[in-house]
Amino acid sequence: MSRSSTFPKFRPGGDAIAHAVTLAFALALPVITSILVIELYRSSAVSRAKFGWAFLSGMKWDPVTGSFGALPFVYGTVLTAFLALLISAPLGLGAAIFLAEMAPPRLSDWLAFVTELLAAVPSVIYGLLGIFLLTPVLRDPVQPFLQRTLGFLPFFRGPCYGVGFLAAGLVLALMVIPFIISLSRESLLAVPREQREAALALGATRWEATRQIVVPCARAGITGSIFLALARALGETMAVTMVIGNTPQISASLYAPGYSIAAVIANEFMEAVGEAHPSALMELGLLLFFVTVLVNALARVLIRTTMPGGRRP
Amino acid sequence: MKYRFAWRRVVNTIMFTLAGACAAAASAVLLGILGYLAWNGGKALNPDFFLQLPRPPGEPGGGMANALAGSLKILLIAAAFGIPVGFLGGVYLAEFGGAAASFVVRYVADLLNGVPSIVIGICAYSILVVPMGGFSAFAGGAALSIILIPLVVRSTEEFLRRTVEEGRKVIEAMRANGLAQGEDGLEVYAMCELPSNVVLASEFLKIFDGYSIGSNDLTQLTLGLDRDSGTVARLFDENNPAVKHLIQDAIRAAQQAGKPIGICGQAPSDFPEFADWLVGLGIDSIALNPDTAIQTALSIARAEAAPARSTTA
Repeated sequence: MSRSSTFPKFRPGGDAIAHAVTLAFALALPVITSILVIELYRSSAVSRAKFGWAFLSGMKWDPVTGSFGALPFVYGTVLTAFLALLISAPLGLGAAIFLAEMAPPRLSDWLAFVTELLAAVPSVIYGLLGIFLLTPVLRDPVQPFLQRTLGFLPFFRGPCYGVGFLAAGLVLALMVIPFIISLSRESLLAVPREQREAALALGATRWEATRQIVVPCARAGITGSIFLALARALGETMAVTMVIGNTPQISASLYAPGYSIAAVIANEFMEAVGEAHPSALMELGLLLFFVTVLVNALARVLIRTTMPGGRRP
Repeated sequence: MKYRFAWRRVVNTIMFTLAGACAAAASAVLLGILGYLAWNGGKALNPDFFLQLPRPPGEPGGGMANALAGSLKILLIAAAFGIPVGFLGGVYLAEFGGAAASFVVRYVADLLNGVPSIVIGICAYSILVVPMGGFSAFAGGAALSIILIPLVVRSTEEFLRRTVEEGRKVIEAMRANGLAQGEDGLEVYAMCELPSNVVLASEFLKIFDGYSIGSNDLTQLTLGLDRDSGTVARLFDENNPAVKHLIQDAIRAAQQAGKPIGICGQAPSDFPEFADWLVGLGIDSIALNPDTAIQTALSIARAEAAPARSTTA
């Protein structure tokens, strides 16, 4: 059989067709995203017209009288995400440094595999674990103990319910730590061996080589992992809903129950009646969307400025 | 001095112990979660769990067949929408994407990836569930596919780029160490000395700013012989038609890509007619051995003065 008959005939323009078709599908992404934004904006029209910018600073959330303010939810979302990062970022980074620099490769690979497995566990399971395992332990003995020792701080006052900001922050920390470990470890491992060897040859200790050479080289990846964790913590719904206590209030105490944007949407959206209530929930969704966009953009800027074009997050 | 070194070693030990403690704490908790799930979940697993419908609360037995079937159905619908769209979008990014369009699609994909699922959920509710008059597996699958698409797009893109991944890694490694391509006029050229560099020239030239043909290695690797081995060295011949064919292809590809291409190898120094042939093909630069520089330069000047001639290998 001659060659020309085995192969399909070359048709000029095939590339152009493939280009156009794949472009159409690629453009599906911006189109979907615009639809999301437009829908959120459209559906929140009633709430935006009624409350204006006061929606953001409003403290009251009362479906009965139809008055809605978002501040307690914003507070809960930001506080729990911040708590989660406060715990998970140092712990995750430390673990990543150990796995990348010290641990035997086999152990490191195995633990990284397990970690990635945990990143795939659905959030509702973390929520269940939070309810069944974490909150009882928090109620007694952890919270009373903290109160006795650190009770002079405003963060550890009030009755010990178990559920509340602290529980939500802890569950979120558990949920995001796999991301931080696995991405940071990967970017630490991507730093060339020669960099470490050069530093050691100049007389640096292992730690000095890690802190002054390896970690700065991997900074973009590490920053990226932390921002990914932040984005996940801000938007996490089920697990937070199950342990935060679902009470719209602002309290300095971490023991107090609170509420988050995602949790209130999940709890009330299906039961919201009338015009203002669903619309206010939609506006909360819009708010959450913009927060995510902001965090995403900030992560990019930070990665770009701390490092000339590092790994993409 | 002695004490200072001792101190540095102490710091080294302390810091790595801390990192190890982080790793131990994180993996103990994560392994604990995994173990808890496997242990407690495993006890409840039996064929009924998969095959039976739930019984009313309080009655023993029953299963989750309805929930499993529902999850599967939604997953299939989401895959049917999300995978083709994501795959073709990814193909666009890897193969056709222009700078501006790719930037937008990639940015939006990362953005959509970070949008909390609850936000996508309420949008799907008001776009699909309300107009369709009720909940359905279709609406659930469509919402899930929106979460799926950005992931598929980015993984497809990464996967398709594997062929020239090494090239990208080089660029990234250089960037990570402060040498950013395009910054301060930095151009990164690659040696074209593997047959694969010629075969995939258009791909490699998307990454690099230009090519330099290494005719020695290209000849060795094309003819499959080692010029340092006494047995086969006499067969080493840059004028072999196969080698010249590849060189010609590489130059053509570079010209098509609008990227400069040069040669650094023994051939033009050894054979003035080889240099003339390269000039006829329109090569941009030729590196020469010092002892033949003048002689070949003169020969090239003559060749360049002559009208362009046929350039078949």
